[in-house]
Amino acid sequence: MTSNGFILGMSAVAVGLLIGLGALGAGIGDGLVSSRVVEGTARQPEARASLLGIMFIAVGIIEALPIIAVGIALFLLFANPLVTK
Amino acid sequence: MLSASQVSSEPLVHPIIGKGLLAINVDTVRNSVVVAVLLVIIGVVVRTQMRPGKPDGLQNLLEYFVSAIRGLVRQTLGDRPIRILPIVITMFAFIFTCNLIGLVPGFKSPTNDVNTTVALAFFAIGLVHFFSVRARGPVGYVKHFFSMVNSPIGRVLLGVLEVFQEFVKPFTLALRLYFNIFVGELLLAVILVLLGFASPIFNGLFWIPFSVFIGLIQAFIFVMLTISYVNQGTEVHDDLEGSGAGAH
Repeated sequence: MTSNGFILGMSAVAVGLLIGLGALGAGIGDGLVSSRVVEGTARQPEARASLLGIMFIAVGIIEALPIIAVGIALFLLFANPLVTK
Repeated sequence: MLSASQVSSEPLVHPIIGKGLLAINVDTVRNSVVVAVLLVIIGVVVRTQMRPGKPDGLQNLLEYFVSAIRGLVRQTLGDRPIRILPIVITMFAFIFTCNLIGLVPGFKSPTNDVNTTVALAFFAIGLVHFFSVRARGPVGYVKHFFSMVNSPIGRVLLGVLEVFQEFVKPFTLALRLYFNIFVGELLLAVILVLLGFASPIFNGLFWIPFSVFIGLIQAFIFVMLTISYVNQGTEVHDDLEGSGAGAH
Protein backbone atom coordinates (compact mmCIF):
# COMPACT_ATOMS: atom_id res chain seq x y z
CA MET A 1 0.00 0.00 0.00
CA THR A 2 1.73 3.13 -1.18
CA SER A 3 0.66 6.58 -0.14
CA ASN A 4 -1.29 8.89 -2.40
CA GLY A 5 1.50 11.46 -2.23
CA PHE A 6 4.01 8.98 -3.62
CA ILE A 7 1.61 7.98 -6.41
CA LEU A 8 0.90 11.59 -7.31
CA GLY A 9 4.60 12.46 -7.35
CA MET A 10 5.41 9.51 -9.57
CA SER A 11 2.44 10.43 -11.75
CA ALA A 12 3.88 13.90 -12.19
CA VAL A 13 7.19 12.37 -13.34
CA ALA A 14 5.27 10.08 -15.68
CA VAL A 15 3.30 13.01 -17.08
CA GLY A 16 6.55 14.85 -17.82
CA LEU A 17 8.03 11.81 -19.54
CA LEU A 18 4.84 11.10 -21.50
CA ILE A 19 4.46 14.60 -22.87
CA GLY A 20 8.18 15.21 -23.35
CA LEU A 21 9.06 11.96 -25.11
CA GLY A 22 5.85 12.04 -27.13
CA ALA A 23 6.62 15.54 -28.31
CA LEU A 24 10.23 14.55 -29.06
CA GLY A 25 9.26 11.64 -31.29
CA ALA A 26 6.49 13.49 -33.03
CA GLY A 27 8.77 16.48 -33.57
CA ILE A 28 11.35 14.30 -35.29
CA GLY A 29 8.65 12.68 -37.39
CA ASP A 30 7.04 15.98 -38.36
CA GLY A 31 10.45 17.38 -39.25
CA LEU A 32 11.25 14.45 -41.52
CA VAL A 33 7.90 14.71 -43.29
CA SER A 34 8.09 18.48 -43.71
CA SER A 35 11.67 18.44 -44.95
CA ARG A 36 10.78 15.91 -47.62
CA VAL A 37 7.80 18.03 -48.64
CA VAL A 38 10.06 21.08 -48.96
CA GLU A 39 12.51 19.05 -51.05
CA GLY A 40 9.73 17.76 -53.23
CA THR A 41 8.26 21.22 -53.71
CA ALA A 42 11.66 22.64 -54.62
CA ARG A 43 12.19 19.91 -57.17
CA GLN A 44 8.66 19.98 -58.60
CA PRO A 45 6.84 23.21 -57.74
CA GLU A 46 3.71 22.18 -59.63
CA ALA A 47 3.21 19.22 -57.27
CA ARG A 48 2.91 21.57 -54.28
CA ALA A 49 -0.84 21.26 -53.74
CA SER A 50 -0.98 17.46 -53.72
CA LEU A 51 2.19 17.25 -51.62
CA LEU A 52 0.66 19.58 -49.03
CA GLY A 53 -2.46 17.42 -48.82
CA ILE A 54 -0.41 14.28 -48.30
CA MET A 55 1.75 16.10 -45.76
CA PHE A 56 -1.22 17.15 -43.64
CA ILE A 57 -2.54 13.60 -43.59
CA ALA A 58 0.87 12.19 -42.64
CA VAL A 59 1.36 14.83 -39.96
CA GLY A 60 -2.14 14.11 -38.64
CA ILE A 61 -1.34 10.43 -38.29
CA ILE A 62 1.99 11.19 -36.62
CA GLU A 63 0.44 13.73 -34.27
CA ALA A 64 -2.10 11.18 -33.05
CA LEU A 65 0.49 9.37 -30.93
CA PRO A 66 1.65 12.33 -28.79
CA ILE A 67 -2.00 13.36 -28.48
CA ILE A 68 -2.75 9.93 -27.05
CA ALA A 69 0.23 10.38 -24.71
CA VAL A 70 -1.09 13.77 -23.62
CA GLY A 71 -4.52 12.25 -23.07
CA ILE A 72 -3.13 9.57 -20.78
CA ALA A 73 -1.02 12.21 -19.05
CA LEU A 74 -4.06 14.39 -18.39
CA PHE A 75 -5.91 11.37 -17.04
CA LEU A 76 -3.03 10.82 -14.63
CA LEU A 77 -3.09 14.49 -13.60
CA PHE A 78 -6.79 15.16 -13.17
CA ALA A 79 -8.47 11.79 -12.74
CA ASN A 80 -5.71 9.53 -11.46
CA PRO A 81 -7.13 6.00 -11.27
CA LEU A 82 -4.32 4.79 -8.96
CA VAL A 83 -5.05 7.20 -6.13
CA THR A 84 -7.25 5.75 -3.40
CA LYS A 85 -9.96 8.15 -2.39
CA MET B 1 -0.93 25.55 -7.86
CA LEU B 2 -2.92 23.70 -10.48
CA SER B 3 -5.21 21.21 -8.88
CA ALA B 4 -7.89 18.91 -10.08
CA SER B 5 -10.61 20.89 -8.35
CA GLN B 6 -9.79 24.04 -10.33
CA VAL B 7 -10.13 22.42 -13.73
CA SER B 8 -13.73 21.78 -14.64
CA SER B 9 -14.15 18.03 -14.97
CA GLU B 10 -16.95 18.59 -17.47
CA PRO B 11 -15.08 17.16 -20.51
CA LEU B 12 -14.14 14.06 -18.53
CA VAL B 13 -17.44 13.01 -17.04
CA HIS B 14 -20.51 11.85 -18.90
CA PRO B 15 -23.87 11.73 -17.14
CA ILE B 16 -25.01 8.12 -17.25
CA ILE B 17 -28.32 6.30 -17.30
CA GLY B 18 -28.23 2.62 -16.40
CA LYS B 19 -25.48 0.43 -15.04
CA GLY B 20 -22.54 -1.63 -16.23
CA LEU B 21 -22.54 -2.65 -19.86
CA LEU B 22 -25.98 -1.15 -20.47
CA ALA B 23 -24.98 2.31 -19.26
CA ILE B 24 -25.94 5.06 -21.69
CA ASN B 25 -24.01 8.30 -21.87
CA VAL B 26 -26.87 10.76 -22.08
CA ASP B 27 -24.93 13.75 -23.44
CA THR B 28 -23.29 11.69 -26.17
CA VAL B 29 -26.64 10.40 -27.38
CA ARG B 30 -28.18 13.86 -27.20
CA ASN B 31 -25.34 15.49 -29.12
CA SER B 32 -25.26 12.72 -31.72
CA VAL B 33 -28.95 13.28 -32.35
CA VAL B 34 -28.34 17.02 -32.58
CA VAL B 35 -25.57 16.43 -35.13
CA ALA B 36 -27.74 14.08 -37.16
CA VAL B 37 -30.69 16.49 -37.21
CA LEU B 38 -28.36 19.35 -38.10
CA LEU B 39 -26.93 17.39 -41.01
CA VAL B 40 -30.39 16.50 -42.29
CA ILE B 41 -31.47 20.15 -42.06
CA ILE B 42 -28.34 21.31 -43.88
CA GLY B 43 -28.93 18.66 -46.53
CA VAL B 44 -32.55 19.68 -47.07
CA VAL B 45 -31.74 23.40 -47.14
CA VAL B 46 -28.88 23.01 -49.59
CA ARG B 47 -30.95 20.68 -51.76
CA THR B 48 -33.86 23.10 -52.02
CA GLN B 49 -31.63 26.08 -52.77
CA MET B 50 -29.34 24.18 -55.09
CA ARG B 51 -28.22 26.01 -58.21
CA PRO B 52 -26.49 23.54 -60.52
CA GLY B 53 -23.47 25.03 -62.22
CA LYS B 54 -23.50 28.16 -60.09
CA PRO B 55 -22.68 27.03 -56.56
CA ASP B 56 -22.34 29.61 -53.82
CA GLY B 57 -21.87 29.65 -50.07
CA LEU B 58 -22.73 26.42 -48.35
CA GLN B 59 -23.30 24.53 -51.58
CA ASN B 60 -19.80 25.46 -52.68
CA LEU B 61 -18.31 24.16 -49.44
CA LEU B 62 -20.22 20.89 -49.57
CA GLU B 63 -19.35 20.36 -53.22
CA TYR B 64 -15.70 20.88 -52.33
CA PHE B 65 -15.81 18.18 -49.66
CA VAL B 66 -17.77 15.78 -51.84
CA SER B 67 -15.46 16.18 -54.80
CA ALA B 68 -12.37 15.88 -52.59
CA ILE B 69 -13.57 12.58 -51.15
CA ARG B 70 -14.78 11.34 -54.53
CA GLY B 71 -11.32 12.09 -55.93
CA LEU B 72 -9.76 10.19 -53.05
CA VAL B 73 -12.00 7.16 -53.60
CA ARG B 74 -11.34 7.12 -57.34
CA GLN B 75 -7.60 7.56 -56.82
CA THR B 76 -7.41 4.76 -54.27
CA LEU B 77 -9.88 2.21 -55.61
CA GLY B 78 -9.56 2.94 -59.31
CA ASP B 79 -12.44 1.57 -61.34
CA ARG B 80 -13.13 -1.45 -59.17
CA PRO B 81 -16.87 -1.90 -58.62
CA ILE B 82 -16.96 -0.92 -54.96
CA ARG B 83 -19.76 1.49 -54.10
CA ILE B 84 -18.30 3.01 -50.97
CA LEU B 85 -18.58 6.71 -51.81
CA PRO B 86 -22.00 7.60 -50.26
CA ILE B 87 -21.28 5.86 -46.97
CA VAL B 88 -17.81 7.36 -46.76
CA ILE B 89 -19.12 10.87 -47.37
CA THR B 90 -21.76 10.30 -44.70
CA MET B 91 -19.10 9.17 -42.25
CA PHE B 92 -16.96 12.18 -43.03
CA ALA B 93 -19.85 14.60 -42.59
CA PHE B 94 -20.92 13.00 -39.32
CA ILE B 95 -17.43 12.86 -37.80
CA PHE B 96 -16.52 16.37 -38.91
CA THR B 97 -19.73 17.86 -37.52
CA CYS B 98 -19.27 15.87 -34.32
CA ASN B 99 -15.78 17.28 -33.94
CA LEU B 100 -16.98 20.83 -34.51
CA ILE B 101 -20.02 20.80 -32.26
CA GLY B 102 -17.84 20.32 -29.19
CA LEU B 103 -16.45 23.82 -29.72
CA VAL B 104 -19.93 25.33 -29.31
CA PRO B 105 -20.55 26.21 -25.66
CA GLY B 106 -23.13 23.89 -24.10
CA PHE B 107 -22.28 20.99 -26.38
CA LYS B 108 -19.74 18.21 -26.20
CA SER B 109 -18.42 16.31 -29.17
CA PRO B 110 -19.97 12.87 -29.46
CA THR B 111 -16.49 11.85 -30.63
CA ASN B 112 -15.28 12.96 -27.20
CA ASP B 113 -16.71 9.64 -26.00
CA VAL B 114 -14.74 6.46 -26.66
CA ASN B 115 -17.99 4.56 -27.24
CA THR B 116 -18.82 6.64 -30.31
CA THR B 117 -15.42 6.31 -31.90
CA VAL B 118 -15.15 2.57 -31.23
CA ALA B 119 -18.62 2.10 -32.76
CA LEU B 120 -17.63 4.12 -35.82
CA ALA B 121 -14.37 2.20 -36.15
CA PHE B 122 -16.07 -1.19 -35.86
CA PHE B 123 -18.53 -0.06 -38.50
CA ALA B 124 -15.68 1.00 -40.80
CA ILE B 125 -13.73 -2.22 -40.32
CA GLY B 126 -16.93 -4.23 -40.72
CA LEU B 127 -17.32 -2.50 -44.06
CA VAL B 128 -13.76 -3.52 -44.97
CA HIS B 129 -14.44 -7.18 -44.22
CA PHE B 130 -17.79 -7.07 -46.02
CA PHE B 131 -16.18 -5.79 -49.20
CA SER B 132 -13.23 -8.14 -48.71
CA VAL B 133 -15.45 -11.22 -48.58
CA ARG B 134 -17.44 -9.97 -51.53
CA ALA B 135 -14.37 -9.32 -53.65
CA ARG B 136 -12.45 -12.49 -52.81
CA GLY B 137 -15.10 -14.98 -51.86
CA PRO B 138 -15.13 -16.65 -48.43
CA VAL B 139 -12.28 -19.03 -49.26
CA GLY B 140 -10.08 -16.39 -50.80
CA TYR B 141 -10.83 -14.14 -47.82
CA VAL B 142 -9.45 -16.69 -45.36
CA LYS B 143 -6.60 -17.72 -47.65
CA HIS B 144 -5.47 -14.14 -48.07
CA PHE B 145 -4.29 -13.95 -44.47
CA PHE B 146 -1.96 -16.88 -45.00
CA SER B 147 -0.44 -15.98 -48.34
CA MET B 148 2.32 -13.54 -47.46
CA VAL B 149 5.49 -15.58 -48.01
CA ASN B 150 6.50 -18.85 -49.60
CA SER B 151 7.61 -20.99 -46.66
CA PRO B 152 4.78 -22.72 -44.78
CA ILE B 153 6.08 -21.76 -41.31
CA GLY B 154 6.43 -18.15 -42.36
CA ARG B 155 2.90 -18.24 -43.72
CA VAL B 156 1.48 -19.39 -40.41
CA LEU B 157 3.52 -16.91 -38.36
CA LEU B 158 2.77 -13.95 -40.61
CA GLY B 159 -0.83 -15.10 -40.92
CA VAL B 160 -1.28 -14.95 -37.16
CA LEU B 161 0.23 -11.47 -37.23
CA GLU B 162 -2.11 -10.45 -40.04
CA VAL B 163 -5.18 -11.70 -38.17
CA PHE B 164 -3.99 -9.91 -35.03
CA GLN B 165 -3.55 -6.75 -37.08
CA GLU B 166 -7.16 -7.00 -38.19
CA PHE B 167 -8.18 -6.87 -34.54
CA VAL B 168 -5.87 -3.94 -33.79
CA LYS B 169 -7.06 -1.83 -36.74
CA PRO B 170 -10.42 -0.69 -35.29
CA PHE B 171 -8.81 0.28 -32.00
CA THR B 172 -6.07 2.42 -33.51
CA LEU B 173 -8.72 4.01 -35.72
CA ALA B 174 -10.98 4.68 -32.74
CA LEU B 175 -8.36 5.84 -30.26
CA ARG B 176 -6.73 8.23 -32.74
CA LEU B 177 -10.01 10.06 -33.25
CA TYR B 178 -11.10 9.84 -29.61
CA PHE B 179 -7.93 11.18 -28.02
CA ASN B 180 -7.48 13.98 -30.55
CA ILE B 181 -10.94 15.38 -29.84
CA PHE B 182 -10.92 14.55 -26.15
CA VAL B 183 -7.57 16.21 -25.50
CA GLY B 184 -8.59 19.23 -27.57
CA GLU B 185 -11.64 19.82 -25.42
CA LEU B 186 -9.91 19.04 -22.14
CA LEU B 187 -7.11 21.45 -22.98
CA LEU B 188 -9.73 24.18 -23.46
CA ALA B 189 -10.58 23.72 -19.79
CA VAL B 190 -6.93 23.45 -18.76
CA ILE B 191 -5.98 26.64 -20.63
CA LEU B 192 -8.85 28.40 -18.88
CA VAL B 193 -7.19 27.70 -15.53
CA LEU B 194 -3.57 28.12 -16.61
CA LEU B 195 -3.92 31.44 -18.40
CA GLY B 196 -6.73 33.00 -16.40
CA PHE B 197 -7.88 36.30 -17.88
CA ALA B 198 -5.79 35.80 -21.03
CA SER B 199 -7.39 32.47 -21.83
CA PRO B 200 -10.25 33.77 -24.04
CA ILE B 201 -7.71 35.51 -26.25
CA PHE B 202 -5.50 32.44 -26.52
CA ASN B 203 -8.42 30.07 -26.97
CA GLY B 204 -10.17 32.26 -29.51
CA LEU B 205 -7.11 33.14 -31.52
CA PHE B 206 -5.18 29.89 -31.45
CA TRP B 207 -6.71 26.87 -29.81
CA ILE B 208 -10.23 26.91 -31.28
CA PRO B 209 -9.07 27.48 -34.88
CA PHE B 210 -6.49 24.75 -34.30
CA SER B 211 -9.22 22.47 -32.97
CA VAL B 212 -11.32 23.09 -36.07
CA PHE B 213 -8.30 22.20 -38.17
CA ILE B 214 -7.62 19.05 -36.10
CA GLY B 215 -11.28 18.06 -36.37
CA LEU B 216 -11.16 18.38 -40.14
CA ILE B 217 -7.87 16.51 -40.44
CA GLN B 218 -8.96 13.70 -38.12
CA ALA B 219 -12.29 13.24 -39.90
CA PHE B 220 -10.43 13.13 -43.19
CA ILE B 221 -7.83 10.68 -41.86
CA PHE B 222 -10.56 8.40 -40.51
CA VAL B 223 -12.25 8.30 -43.89
CA MET B 224 -8.99 8.01 -45.79
CA LEU B 225 -7.79 5.08 -43.70
CA THR B 226 -11.17 3.39 -44.15
CA ILE B 227 -10.85 3.75 -47.91
CA SER B 228 -7.28 2.47 -47.96
CA TYR B 229 -8.19 -0.48 -45.72
CA VAL B 230 -10.99 -1.30 -48.15
CA ASN B 231 -8.44 -1.03 -50.92
CA GLN B 232 -6.07 -3.43 -49.15
CA GLY B 233 -8.92 -5.79 -48.37
CA THR B 234 -10.24 -5.98 -51.92
CA GLU B 235 -7.00 -6.30 -53.85
CA VAL B 236 -7.06 -9.60 -55.67
CA HIS B 237 -3.67 -11.06 -56.59
CA ASP B 238 -2.91 -14.31 -58.29
CA ASP B 239 0.66 -14.40 -57.04
CA LEU B 240 2.15 -13.49 -53.67
CA GLU B 241 1.35 -10.20 -52.03
CA GLY B 242 4.14 -7.73 -52.64
CA SER B 243 3.45 -4.99 -50.14
CA GLY B 244 2.20 -6.63 -46.95
CA ALA B 245 1.93 -4.07 -44.18
CA GLY B 246 -0.13 -0.97 -44.82
CA ALA B 247 -0.82 2.33 -43.14
CA HIS B 248 -1.48 2.38 -39.43
